[in-house]
Amino acid sequence: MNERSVSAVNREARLAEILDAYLAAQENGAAPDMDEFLACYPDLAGELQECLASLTFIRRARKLAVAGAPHEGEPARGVLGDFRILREIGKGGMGVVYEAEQLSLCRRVALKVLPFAATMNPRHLQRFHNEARAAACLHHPHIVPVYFVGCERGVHFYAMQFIDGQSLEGFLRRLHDTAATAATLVAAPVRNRDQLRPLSVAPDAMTVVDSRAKATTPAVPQDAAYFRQVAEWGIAAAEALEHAHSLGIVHRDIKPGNLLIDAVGRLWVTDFGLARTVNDSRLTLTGDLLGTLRYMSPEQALAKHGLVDHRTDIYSLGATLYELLTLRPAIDGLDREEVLKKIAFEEAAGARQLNRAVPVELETIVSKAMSKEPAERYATAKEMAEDLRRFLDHKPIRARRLSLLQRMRKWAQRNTAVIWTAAAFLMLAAAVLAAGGLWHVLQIQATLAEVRQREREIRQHLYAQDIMVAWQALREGEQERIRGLLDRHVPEAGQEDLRGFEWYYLQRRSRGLLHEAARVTAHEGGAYCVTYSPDGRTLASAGKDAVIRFWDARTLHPRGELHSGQGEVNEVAFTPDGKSLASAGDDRTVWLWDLPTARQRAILRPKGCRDELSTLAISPDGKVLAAGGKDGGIWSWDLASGKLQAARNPGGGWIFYLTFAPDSRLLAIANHDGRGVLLDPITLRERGQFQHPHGPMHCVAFSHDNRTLAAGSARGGRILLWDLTERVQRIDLSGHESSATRSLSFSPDDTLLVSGGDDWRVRLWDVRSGDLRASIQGHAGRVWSTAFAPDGEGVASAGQDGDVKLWHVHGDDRRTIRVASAAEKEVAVDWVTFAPDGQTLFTRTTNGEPGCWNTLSGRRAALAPACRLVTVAGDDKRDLRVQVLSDAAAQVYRHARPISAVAISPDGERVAFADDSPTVWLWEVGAGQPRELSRLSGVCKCLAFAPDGRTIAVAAAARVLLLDIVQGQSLAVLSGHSKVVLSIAFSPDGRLLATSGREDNTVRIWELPSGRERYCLWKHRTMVHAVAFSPDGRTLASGTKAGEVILWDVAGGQELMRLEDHGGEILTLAFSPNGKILAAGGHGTDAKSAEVTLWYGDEARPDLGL
Amino acid sequence: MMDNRVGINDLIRQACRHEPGALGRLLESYRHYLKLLARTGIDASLQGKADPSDLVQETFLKAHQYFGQFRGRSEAELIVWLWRILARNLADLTRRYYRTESRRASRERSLEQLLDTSSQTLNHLLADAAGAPHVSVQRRELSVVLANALAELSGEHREVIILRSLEERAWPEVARRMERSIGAVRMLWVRALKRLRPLIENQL
Repeated sequence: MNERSVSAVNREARLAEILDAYLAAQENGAAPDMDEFLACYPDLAGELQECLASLTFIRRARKLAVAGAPHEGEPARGVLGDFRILREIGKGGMGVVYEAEQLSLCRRVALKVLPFAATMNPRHLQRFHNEARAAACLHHPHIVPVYFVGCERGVHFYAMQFIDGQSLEGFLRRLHDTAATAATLVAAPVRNRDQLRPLSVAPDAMTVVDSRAKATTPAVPQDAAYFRQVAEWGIAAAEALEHAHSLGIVHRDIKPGNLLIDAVGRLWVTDFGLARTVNDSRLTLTGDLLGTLRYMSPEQALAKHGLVDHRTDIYSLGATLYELLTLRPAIDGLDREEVLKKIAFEEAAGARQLNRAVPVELETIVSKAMSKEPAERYATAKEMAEDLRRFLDHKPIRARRLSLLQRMRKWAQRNTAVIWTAAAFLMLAAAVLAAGGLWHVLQIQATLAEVRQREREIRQHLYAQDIMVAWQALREGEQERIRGLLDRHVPEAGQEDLRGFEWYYLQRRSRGLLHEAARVTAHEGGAYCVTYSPDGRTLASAGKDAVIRFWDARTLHPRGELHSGQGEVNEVAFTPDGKSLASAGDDRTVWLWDLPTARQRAILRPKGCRDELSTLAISPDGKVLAAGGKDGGIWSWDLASGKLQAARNPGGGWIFYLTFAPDSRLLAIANHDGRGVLLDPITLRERGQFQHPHGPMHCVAFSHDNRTLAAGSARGGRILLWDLTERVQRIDLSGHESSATRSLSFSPDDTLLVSGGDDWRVRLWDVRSGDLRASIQGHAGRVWSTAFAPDGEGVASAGQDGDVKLWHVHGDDRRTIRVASAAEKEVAVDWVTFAPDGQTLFTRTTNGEPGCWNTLSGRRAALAPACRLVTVAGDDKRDLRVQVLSDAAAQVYRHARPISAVAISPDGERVAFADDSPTVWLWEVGAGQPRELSRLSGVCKCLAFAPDGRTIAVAAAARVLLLDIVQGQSLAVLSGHSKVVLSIAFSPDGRLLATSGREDNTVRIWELPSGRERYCLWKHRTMVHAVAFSPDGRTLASGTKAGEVILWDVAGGQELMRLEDHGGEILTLAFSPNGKILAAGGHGTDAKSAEVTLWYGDEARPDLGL
Repeated sequence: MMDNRVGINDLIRQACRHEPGALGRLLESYRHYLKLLARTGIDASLQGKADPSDLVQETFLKAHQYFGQFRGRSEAELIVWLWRILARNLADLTRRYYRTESRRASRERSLEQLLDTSSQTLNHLLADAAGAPHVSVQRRELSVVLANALAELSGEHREVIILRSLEERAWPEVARRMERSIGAVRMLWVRALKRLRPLIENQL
């Protein structure tokens, strides 16, 4: 080392020391001033500055650049708007709580931060803000005031008063954790009765150990003072709840964790009204959900939204007090299902059963608050507070203990397993008869029926929940979870099958597009090529061992082999008649084989070939055979005569691949240069070029419709797609991670492209959008060759590991059918319906055109099975046509006024329609004139027949009338929508009606025949033009103007999932009769095209056994 | 390949509008960033016992597939979204790796920590108040800039920066991992810092 480098080394060593020292000082908060610092080291200042600049940058950028376990105690620092974060207080289900300082007012606050906003729906955020604002107007001595709700740099949070103390959850936990004996729970002696509240059971008192007592009994509180304290807390919480309820705010999440005790022992209720936001957005982790579930009222836990009111808080408060009294949660279980079942069925044991010291009155009060039926609880929080106060004042409480009958009912509910057996029931009935009479037996029967009903509801609820979770898992790419969730609902013997379209659809989606079907070790040293015979029944493969092998294309059973002496066989190709095969070898020859006799029939020697022949192809018309070599040469033979007709070397180096266009008029070359050329197959003259900028081009493929050219490269794994008609590059697919793409092949319908690469993977691409649809590790080595089966159902691959593999391509889970398109005006599909066998789909467009489609293939159906379709034709919309599609005849009626809505009865015999007067008419098809049924009070945009054909539901502006078709009398009027009703659908059993309204963007479900509104589903972002029930009536689909389909669980009124694949406005929806296919019709991506989207659930394609 | 001419926010917008190729270009520009995350994540959770490129691959695939779910609009939100995907994939990887040992509470906790990005996110979003300038709309997120700059360093220089300045390991450990003396790695560190600065400036 010379002088210079020694001093350089020393310099750097010094620099390192100085920098380390600087950083250390910074850690300790004692970072020196930059200029002063630099001034201390004048000779190193320049380099120091450079290094410090980098370090400063790293420090700032580091935060989101490192994904590691955070260091213990790493504090949050910094400022969030008007608040400076001081420290983290704790983590809850809904995010983290920090202690902070409000800068403008110099006061301490607690900041609760929501998990990151980007995962939240804007609607949820809006709701969060609304709820927080509502909570902010609560002013009560026992409610934690909310000061501020805001959003800073994408982080949503609210600020509330900082309570110096702990929650009752912490308090309970400490009671459990401390080696507390009964004695330690004796509160410190109370000096002043009036000061009972602040002094007793202050958190610190728990750690006082009374050494005289022995730990003989399990630690439950026994001291009267403790129970009085609990009652005081109950009063405080109930008064807080009363205040909120009076303002219409329900807390929904009362639990020990939301009740805080401050330093002077005062109770505070916190987090009002925010539980709804959280539970909906599913932001809590499972553990936390259970924690909340324990305290949830039955109506809340079973998601009966319509029934949840302020009394749910009373239940939760009761459950909380219960746990304080007994130190055990009222309802507990290992998982969600168990807890839900207990909440619905089991009565918690009386508090005194777990802790005999609990005063009787407290047990009664808590029991009443925790009644399963809201009507049996305290009607208001105030009444509960009053009863607690009576207990404290030693006055008699109002709550009654249960009567014998009530207790029996509850016993029955708790012991349902026993009652199931008839014998047990008989015994019970006999006993009851003896005791009290028939009436009691009926009551028990009623209970049983109730219990069965409850069980059904629970199963349905769990099903709906699991579907929601599975949908979420699918969206987040966690396919593995879905299977488990779905399998739970495969019915066992005797159980009702609750599975609907959503289940089958998720099942199909969870399987993924591609999966390995068969594999065989084919060629030692590497399988270089695999290709399908033209009839798709055989696969041929070849490789390093120069043996050409044939396999059954479905099972990979060996079918034969040809031993070629070519050294290595690099490529094989069938002739279009399937009777011959050509193979290109390392020995610079092409061998032609006659397949029926399995003999070699000719050897072609390319003139001037100096190196191995790497590739060959046979034109689709069977006339030309072309081969390319490592030396860059290309040769073309006339296949019939075997004569070499052209030879050429374009100078681009190694010809990796060549292929013919489907019309046999072009030959595409992929070579080392990356300059792709298009040649005339016979003369080999250049006809065009295409460039792949990313290095050597390894593969090229034409789509079957000759509209697209795909090429893959050696570097950066890119696949380029060119549009051949426009001659422009269309898409650039980021292909196999930085490694070469070795082969490409289009599916027969050109919707998918399969590629194999050096990264060992086989990938499937959507040709239209460029989306990567599947990526699987294909081989234990480079994937040399891939091919799509002629029927599009499978893909074959050959790899460096010597294997040939078969992959099953699952049919797409959806399909779009372009029904019509118009150049000038708008057109849309406004009616879809399935034929009874589900194989045909009928459509009707807004210009009155009917259509018939094969459900599975999406192509026009050859035959139109009998189906009656009614259309309104004519520009003036006055012509009513009813046609049976299998023949051209149609019954026509011309009305005096334009028709605004029309529907045909289920048996096809009658048509109901509304004109603009507005009046609704009934027409017996083909039998004379229509009959006026009723005048309407408002415009009618839609109407529908009930499944029994005897009533119709007619929209009249914002109301819906149920009319009897015989008399025309009105059976019910449903009002609730604010503006015009846009669509109507009956449930298959005729007991429910679904309607959608304009501008309130809601769908409402009504009960018939009462006309009572059961649910209002409001989560649509835009107008809903279509609603439809599934065949089992358990799911409702709604379609919006934005092209979304939302699936709802009818029993609970909850959203199950959302399908966003339809291109434009949706005007009509229909389920197939077996419930496994859903069709949506409307506009396509632009208003001038009419499209239908079909979603297929599993088992929708019986003929393929999928 | 980062396309500086089209600002990153524009690219995000294009991708959200499904313009062909935009999504590919957008996600490609996070390749180095994801590699860095994968590397440090695997170091933390699996003691470096896995290949980061598989993790990056999986993350890309999911990001492609589920980009429709991304509801944000800024790069800041996008990288947190990518980070969550990566963290979840990493958790899966870790779970699979530790399948037999998954009952050990300490490991469970570190998985939780990795998944619980909410508090970390807040931490990491709150840049020091002093001197954080209002960044112009078209600027890239600092962490992405850092990852891109690191990608251009030589292997050793990058390694020492990752180990020392990002993963904050002590010098003896850095030296052991790089199989050199402490003095040698410290000098490498200084040189790397010097080299890094112009690389960062180039991007800003």
